[in-house]
Formats: sequence, structure tokens, C-alpha cells
Amino acid sequence: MKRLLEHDLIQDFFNAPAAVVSFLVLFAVLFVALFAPWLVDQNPFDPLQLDLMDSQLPPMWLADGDSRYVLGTDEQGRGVLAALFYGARLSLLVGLASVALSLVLGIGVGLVAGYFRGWADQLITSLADLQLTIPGLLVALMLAGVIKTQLPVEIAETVMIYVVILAIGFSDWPKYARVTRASVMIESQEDYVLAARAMGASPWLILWRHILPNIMRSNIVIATVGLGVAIMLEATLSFLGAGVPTSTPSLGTLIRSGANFLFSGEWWVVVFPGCMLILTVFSINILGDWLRDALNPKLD
Amino acid sequence: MLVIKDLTVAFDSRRGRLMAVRGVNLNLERGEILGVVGESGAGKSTVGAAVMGLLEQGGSVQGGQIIFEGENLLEKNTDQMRAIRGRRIGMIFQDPMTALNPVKTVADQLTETIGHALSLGAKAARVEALNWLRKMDIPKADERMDHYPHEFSGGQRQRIVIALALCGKPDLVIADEPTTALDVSVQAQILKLIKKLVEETHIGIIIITHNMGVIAELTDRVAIMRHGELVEEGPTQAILQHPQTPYAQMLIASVPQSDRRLMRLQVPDNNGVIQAPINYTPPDKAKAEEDALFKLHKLNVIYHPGGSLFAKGKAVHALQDASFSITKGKALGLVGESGSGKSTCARGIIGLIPISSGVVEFDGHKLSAMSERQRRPVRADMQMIFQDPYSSLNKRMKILDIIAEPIRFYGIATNRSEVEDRAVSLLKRVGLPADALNRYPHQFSGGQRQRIAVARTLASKPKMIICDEPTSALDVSVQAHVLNLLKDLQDEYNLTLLFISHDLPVVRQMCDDIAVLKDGKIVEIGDAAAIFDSPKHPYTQHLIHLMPHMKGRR
Repeated sequence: MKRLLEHDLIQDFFNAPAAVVSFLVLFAVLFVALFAPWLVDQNPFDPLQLDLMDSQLPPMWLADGDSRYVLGTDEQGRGVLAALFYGARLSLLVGLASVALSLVLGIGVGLVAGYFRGWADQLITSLADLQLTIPGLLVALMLAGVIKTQLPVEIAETVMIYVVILAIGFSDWPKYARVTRASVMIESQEDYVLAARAMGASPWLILWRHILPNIMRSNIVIATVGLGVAIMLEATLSFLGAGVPTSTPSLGTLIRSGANFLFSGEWWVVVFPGCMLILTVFSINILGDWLRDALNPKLD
Repeated sequence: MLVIKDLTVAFDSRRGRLMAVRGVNLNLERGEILGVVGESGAGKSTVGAAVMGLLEQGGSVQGGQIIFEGENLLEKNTDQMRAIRGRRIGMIFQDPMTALNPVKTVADQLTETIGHALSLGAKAARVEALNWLRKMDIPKADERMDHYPHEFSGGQRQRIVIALALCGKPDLVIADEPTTALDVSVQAQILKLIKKLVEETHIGIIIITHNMGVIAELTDRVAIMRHGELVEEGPTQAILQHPQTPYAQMLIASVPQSDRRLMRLQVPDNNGVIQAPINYTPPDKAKAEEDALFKLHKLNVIYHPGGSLFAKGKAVHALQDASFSITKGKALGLVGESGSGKSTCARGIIGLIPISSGVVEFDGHKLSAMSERQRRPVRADMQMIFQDPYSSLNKRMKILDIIAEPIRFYGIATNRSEVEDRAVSLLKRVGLPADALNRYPHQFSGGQRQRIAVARTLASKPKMIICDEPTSALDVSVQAHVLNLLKDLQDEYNLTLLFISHDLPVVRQMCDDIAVLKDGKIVEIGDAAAIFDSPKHPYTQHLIHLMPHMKGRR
């Protein structure tokens, strides 16, 4: 523990107030997302727990406010606070899963392209270029359309979240693949890789044991920023109605349904999820920026 | 002309304050060449940077004076210093590849500096620039001055860098490792040029270097630095022949000599005492085993660079018909300048690059005819040590994992405690403590890292080790330790060495036989002593003639 505290990265962290604040915010978001069922009484995803009698209540500190619903309710009698916690859960899940997907995919093909070069490299870089010409948003919208029209409603609703994860994950892999490919090309000229080759190690062993740990730094930095982008992308998809279904709302879905009430005076339905989204993504980006500088050996 | 009094420079970092230079006093007269020598971390470059007012970020002068022609440079502000830099004090940098701006022509860079420093118009500055290039012996200077830096060779580029430093007609020039990145023959030219310039223009030069040969060839006086302090200072010949302080004695003793071979290089023992040199005694000819462990027959390596889908690059014949053999327990030195194919040869032998034709025979196996799978068990017997100990160890792996990898890979030991025991004994053998196992490479110095690399190559109990410039990234005293270690190990395990180096004295110290490579061809091969004493091929004669000597030390 003492050694951990003395580590450069940790030292650096405590010297960057912006990073500490963003970390605390993110930690709070993660906390409410993880422990949502224990923090609020109502499960906003369970229709049986919603009471239409309680619909469109303002936050508790306003006139007509109800102390059971701290931040008010939406048109279905769903507590905004509860929806926020459960929504953060979904947003983070989609964000993390899709980043993990593109990270694994991107690093995998990047390693192969950068180490073996040749036709594999040409194929992979061409695919990456092709992928970059198709906006992720478009792919997701298309997939969502197909699934919604072709599958029964119940199945469509349960698979939508995976579709969103796949759509975002697939649209982002070229970024990691390119960075990985470039770093692998540099690392494979290093003497430690030559030493492993001189030992007779197989390419897979070299990639896994030697090169992979040395290229993770830059990927982790991009992944942090990528997480913010992925959460935003999910929110956008859900806002456009191509994301997770309204019965299990994410932050984007909440903003979508709340936006309808913006002009009729029920501002709380859209403002709180909006703030939550901004705060989360902003913190992730600040943290990503800090991480990029802290892990940059040239700025030591 | 230049008086440095009690100079103290500190660097602040997040690990606290480091005193890079402590109370250094130096003098330089016009027409004099002063050498500042020391090992890495001695603070020699910092002294030069302080005089130029170009300390790296975090560095600050804490005390003392730098008096240049009666004026204290430390009291100047940035504008005044900028006026002095270039016009009155010039600087020559180490790396000619990065010291020139790659997107501007040589003429542009020179005329800009000349116009700025001498307040000349564009035409006059161009004439002046041409004069400088001629003075620097750049062939066809009038045609070539409008070329870009990458169109010149390394040696020509360094001459352009020198022209750039001198064209403002400064009174003082600071040269930081001006020949370190160059081959011996180019180095010899540059040193000659600097000497000529000092005689002609009567400027003062401070040469910062770690190379004792350069110091001996070039300087009038020398200052030896260690840990930021001045250890000894005086006329070069006097110091080289009769160093007074123990550190200077050690530093000079640990430089390998081209004219003799010692059993071991002189290094201080644990008590800091330097042993008297023991001259090398060649083993009994009759006793020597005559069977060659390693044979190379007409090895060819041809590169096909830039091979893409649409264009085939021009083939480069990097190695032509290289043939030699090494007797068991002996060392063969492969020498040559950069681009001569030394490393290509090593990499071709060990199978890092494909060979085009030829036979590699090792310990009864025809390596060149074996598939990778067939070859794997044989690989344990032939290992390689790389030049740069900073990149040859994976920085994300613990020392234990680095050394354990070949032990596990070749199945020498499998269970955890056996592997660990073997790793500890290997570390002890190369002179490192057992607690090094749980640390990472960055926690060790260059010399210690090279020891770790040696331990790794020994892990598979090899019969032959290929050493590719194993000490050229190291300081002389560290180099002496590593070379001695290699010799000890060679004696102990009867190792066969293929020793690749551009440093002739190092090869003399380490090798029984020598092969001289030039442009991919072996031009001379034979007994080391014979080649050094009476080289036959003109190229070998040329190389040996040009190598900087520490004169008068016998």
C-alpha cells in the first residue's frame, strides 16, 4: 500500500485537482449505478411499481413536491432520481461493454497487422479504412430498424441493448487497431523482441508476453476518452429512438422522453438526466486528458 | 577568454533537487582546445549548456560566475544572451541527423545564420556560406549547397553542423560529443578539421566527450569530471600519462588499448585498489582444440526494401559471400564501420532475418537447412547479447521473469523454486544481488542492465554467444567491467564468442581472431595480433591508422 502511494502515477494524481474531482464524480456515478436497488425504493424498470397517480410530480423542494420522489416523477409516475440511478447503470454498462469490445477487437487485429505485415496488414488496414467511412450512428440506426421490424416486440426489446453495444463497439475498433498497429511496428524493432525471437519464441508468445504489455498504455488512454464517446453515442441512439427501449430507460432515453415535456413546464424530467450525462462524460474526458499527460514519458 | 568560477547547477524534478554541477572551475584561452571528459551523469554536458545559457527545463545556475571576455554571462538577460549565442559563442551538437532542419536546404540554413550574425545581405551571405562549405571540404559545394540535409552523408552533415556553428565567426565554440555518432574514418576527418580551424582562426574550443581517444588526439588541456565535480585538470599528455587522482587513474586504465592485450582490463576491486595489469599470455598452441564449433560458408544476405503491392524496391546486397569459422572456446571479432553488414551477419546467423544463400554450420547442425521447429532445440546453445541494454530488456517484465523465460522455454527447469534458484545463481554469477529479481529494468543502470542481459543469455547454458556491440552504449569503466565479465564467463564455460564491434581496441582486448568487413565483404581475416601489428589490406591499414590512439602510454 505504501509503495502504491509512492508510485509516480498516484503522486501525479494527487497533484492534479481536476483529476481528483473528476475521479470523485465518476466514483459517485459508478456507486449509484452499482447500488441503485439499495439506494432507491422504486424500480423504475418494473411497471408494477409505477403509479400513474404520482405522474409528473415536481422535485420535492417545489410546491406540490412529494418527499418520496426527491427529483420529481415523469409522465408514468417513475421517480426521476430512481430512473437516473438505473439509467446510469445502463449507460455505463453499454459504454464499458462497447469500449471493451472495440478494444479487444482493435488490439487483436492491430497486433496481427503490425507484427506480421504483408497481406494481413493490407487487408486489416483496408477494412479499418472502410469501417471509418461508415458512421457508427448510421449502422446502429439501420440495425435497430431491421431488428424492430423483423423480430417480435418482446425479443426486440431484450436484444436491443446488445445491438447497441455491438453497433458502438464495431464502429470504434479501427481507432485501437491503428494505434496498436503503429506501436507494434515500433516495438517489434526493439531488441527485447529480437531477443525473444532469437530464443525461438513463437510469434504468438512474443505478441502476448512481450509486445502486448508494452502497447497497453496508449490504448488505455484512448479507451478512456472512447468511453465518454461511447456513452454519448448510446445517449444519441436512445434519444433518436434506436437505442435501448423506453421500458428500461438509459440516460439518453430519459432525455428523449423528457424533451417532450420541456415546453410544458416539467423541466425536471429532462434537466437532471442531462446534467448526469454531461457530468459523467465531462469527468471521463478530464480524467482521460490527465491520464494522457501522466502516462506520456516525454512530459516527465 | 572564458573563465568559469565555482559554477553550480541544480535540476529540480519531482524527485527533488539534483546537483548536476558542483563548484566547477575552468579556464580557456584563445587558440586552445579544452577537453571535458567524464562518464554519463558527470555533468559535463551541463557545463556546456550553462555557458550557452541553454539549460534544460528545470535546470538553474545556483552559484558561481561564467566570465566570457570580461563579461559575466549569468548576468545577461535572454535577449542579450541570444545576441551572444551564434555570433560570439557557437555550438556543435552530437547528432548530425537532428541538428539540421530537414525541411530547409543547407544554403538556407547557413545564409540565415550568417545574415543574422554578420548583418550581411542575402547575396553576400550566400558567398560566405559557399566559402564555409568549401572550407569544410564538401565536394562540389557550389552545386550541393542547395540540397537538403538528408542528401548528405553523416560525416558531411556533421561538417555542415560545424560550418553552421562557425559561420557566425564566434570566439568560442562548444562541441558536445561532436564525433560520437560517427564512424572512425569520419571521426578522424572531423577531428583533423577542428584542429585546422583552431590553428587558422585562433578560436577557443571546449570539447565535451566520453572518448579518451578523442581527448588524446585533439586537446591541449583536459578536465575530468565525476558526479558534477571537477576531479582533475591539466595538460592532456601529463594527465593521460600520470593521472594523480584514483578516479582519473581508474578511468584511464579501463580504456582498452589497441596495442596490447591484457588478461583482464584494470578495474578497481572492492577496496578501490587498481591491480597492476597482467599481460595476455596466449595459450599453448598444441593444447588448443582445432575443431571448429561454428562455420560460415559463403553467407549472402540480400534485402528487398520497400516491397509494397505496387512497387518492388531495389535489392541491397548487405552481405556477400561471408565465410569464417570459429574454434571452440575462441572469440572471433567482426569489425567494420556502420553499414558494413556486421549486424546483418549476426542476425542472419541467428535467424532473425532470412539469408539468401550460404551455409551456417553450428555444433554439427546445418542451421541454414533447418526449419524453425527443428532449429528450436539448437537455439538454446547459441544465444545473442544486444547492443542497447535499455531496449533489450522488456521494461514491463520483472528481472525474474526476464531471466526465467529462457529457463522455462528450453525446459531447463520447470518448477517455480528451481527456476528461481537458477535465476538467483545466474544473477550472482554476473555480480548482481538476489533481490534484483523482483525489480524492473528501469531501476538499474546501463551496466547492470547489460549484466542482466548476459545472465539471460547464460540461462540456457549456451555453447556460443553472439555479442552485437555489447558495450558500445556503456561508459568506459562500466565497459571494462562487462568485458572482464564476458572473459571470465568465456574461460569458465569454454564459450565460443562472435564479437561484433566498431571499436577496434575493444576487439583487440576480447578476440583471438578478427574479420574485417567492408561494404558487406570480408576484406581481411586472421589472427588478431597479426592484423593489428601488420595489417595487409589497405582498408584495414586505414582503419587502424585512423583509430584515435592514447599516445605515449606503453
